[in-house]
Amino acid sequence: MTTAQILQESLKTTLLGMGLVLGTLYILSLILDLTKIIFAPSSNGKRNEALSEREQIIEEGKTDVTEAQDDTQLIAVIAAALAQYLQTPVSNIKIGSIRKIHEKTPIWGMESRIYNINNKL
Amino acid sequence: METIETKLKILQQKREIIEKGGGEKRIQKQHQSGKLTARERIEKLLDKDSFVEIDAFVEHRSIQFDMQYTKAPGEGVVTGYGTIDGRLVFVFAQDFTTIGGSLGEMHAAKICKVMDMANKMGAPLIGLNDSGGARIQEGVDALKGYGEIFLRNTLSSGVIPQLSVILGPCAGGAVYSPALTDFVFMVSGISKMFITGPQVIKAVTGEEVTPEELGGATAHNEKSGVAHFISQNEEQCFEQIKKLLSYIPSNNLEDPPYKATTDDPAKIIPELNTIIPVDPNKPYDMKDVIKLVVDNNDFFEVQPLYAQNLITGFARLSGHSVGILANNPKHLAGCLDINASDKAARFIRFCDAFNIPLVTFTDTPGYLPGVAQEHGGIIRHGAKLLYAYSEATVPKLTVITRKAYGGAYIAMCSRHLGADQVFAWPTAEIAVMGPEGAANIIFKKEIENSEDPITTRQQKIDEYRNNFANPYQAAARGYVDDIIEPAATRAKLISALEMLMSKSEKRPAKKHGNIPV
Repeated sequence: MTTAQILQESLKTTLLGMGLVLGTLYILSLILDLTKIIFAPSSNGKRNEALSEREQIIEEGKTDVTEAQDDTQLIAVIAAALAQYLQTPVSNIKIGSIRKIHEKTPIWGMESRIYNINNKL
Repeated sequence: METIETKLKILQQKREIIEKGGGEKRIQKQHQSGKLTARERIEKLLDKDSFVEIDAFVEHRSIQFDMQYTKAPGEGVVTGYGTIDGRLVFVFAQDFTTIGGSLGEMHAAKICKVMDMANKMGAPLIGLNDSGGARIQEGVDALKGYGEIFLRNTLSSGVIPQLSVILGPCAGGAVYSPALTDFVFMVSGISKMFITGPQVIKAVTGEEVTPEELGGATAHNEKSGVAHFISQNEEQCFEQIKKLLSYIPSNNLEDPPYKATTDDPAKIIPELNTIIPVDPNKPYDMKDVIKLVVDNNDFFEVQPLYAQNLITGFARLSGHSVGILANNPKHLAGCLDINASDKAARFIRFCDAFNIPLVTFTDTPGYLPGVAQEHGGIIRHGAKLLYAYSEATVPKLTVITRKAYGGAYIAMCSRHLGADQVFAWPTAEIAVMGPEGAANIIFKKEIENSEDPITTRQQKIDEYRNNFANPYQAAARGYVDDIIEPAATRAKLISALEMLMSKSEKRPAKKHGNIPV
């Protein structure tokens, strides 16, 4: 075999290998999606009712919609805490919105507070 | 040689003696007079098992008048620290069972030490006062003790909250330490405060008065304004202290405690739309307005019996602690007078010192007219209110519900004194004076020359009311930020408060101002 033929065969093997891997991954993702469809609605009606009620409570609690920002970690923590509190799996929790409450004075306000203290008796 | 067991036994014995104070007989006597002992008081006030005593072994060193033979376990005062709702507080409790809780050099030294510690740690100081006064045998050393306490009270003022609880006699110079603190609590029947007692008064002026009438809880809560809270028993008093602490920070750098609420911040309150009577001269209770607006209708009033024409107190808006001031049309038509001005100014300054936003509800026809007021110095006292509002840098919100006339309009946290947001209800009447007075002056000649002066006068009053006694003139000039539906007051205030969380306002450097005291 010439060098060119060897390279051609190698390329074919590489493409076949990559194709197989990607193809397998795609099929796996399809199976996972299918699993969600097959198993998710299998819970009984009462549980769904309770879940939607809880979702409603959480939804009712919202008062404002925050601007779009990357709060993935925060959402995960809140979902985990709620799941623990409500004694339900995290997959049953849906976070509708998060509103930031200023419990503490921001640094902008603190600066003038300290300034005024330092400049008066 | 003493073994460690013996040494521990000696320690235990000494501590037991100290903890018994003046002894069983005197403890019984204290109970018979309806009072708790110093240690019982601390136990009830602080979180369970949180109290840590300091200086229990301090003794006096007086030898005059055979004092070397007089034992005073704990020097007549229990001092230390502990927690209330998990927050650090420093406390001293005078022990009436030990030499009448009298204050001598070392007694004062114990109090001063705990005051210094409170200041260093930035934690509130609570003083439980139950003392016969200065320990005369110690002479000028006792006076020095009072002086050193007063100095520390002053230096700590505006730095840490200082609360004084009068749970027995507090006479003579001793009264000035509570007077220098932020809040004074008294209990009906057992608390007494006066500079000179009934006997001295009778000898000097011939006036006859009982100790209760002269310096009891009612006298100082209703008449003098020295005290801020009154309770029926000590337990109730301690609950008031805990409640007050829940609204205030531990020092002047901290924010007040935030408490999450389930009360909807955007709640619409339809009752507020009908709370103002149609007749502008008909009174209503401003406390009803306040309770409807604040979280869970929970309003903690300060000085509820003194100068009732002006309401002061603490509440929460969406979990944030706020100081509330309001004219109350139910008393003196909501007029500002000497006592109301003093009460309000002191409250404003406390809130400003401790970073508590101010919310003002205005419904006042003006300053109270009268010779007594003028000669009593309403000019000077009224100026305190202007000074306090102008000086304050905390968020300031104002809601004008009805009357806001003349100088009183300016004084009640108007835009001109630095209010951050001013809201007016459609029922507001913002003008230089009331329609009746204004019509008499502006249309004097027309009324006099009229064939029917009474009808003409009424017409002119109505004309003035329609054209000027409304919120739109002020809103047109931006003196009022918004004219709101009363039902939306809570939502508007909370929204403004959250916007103002980062407020930054600086004042010029100075040694101190010169408030017209």
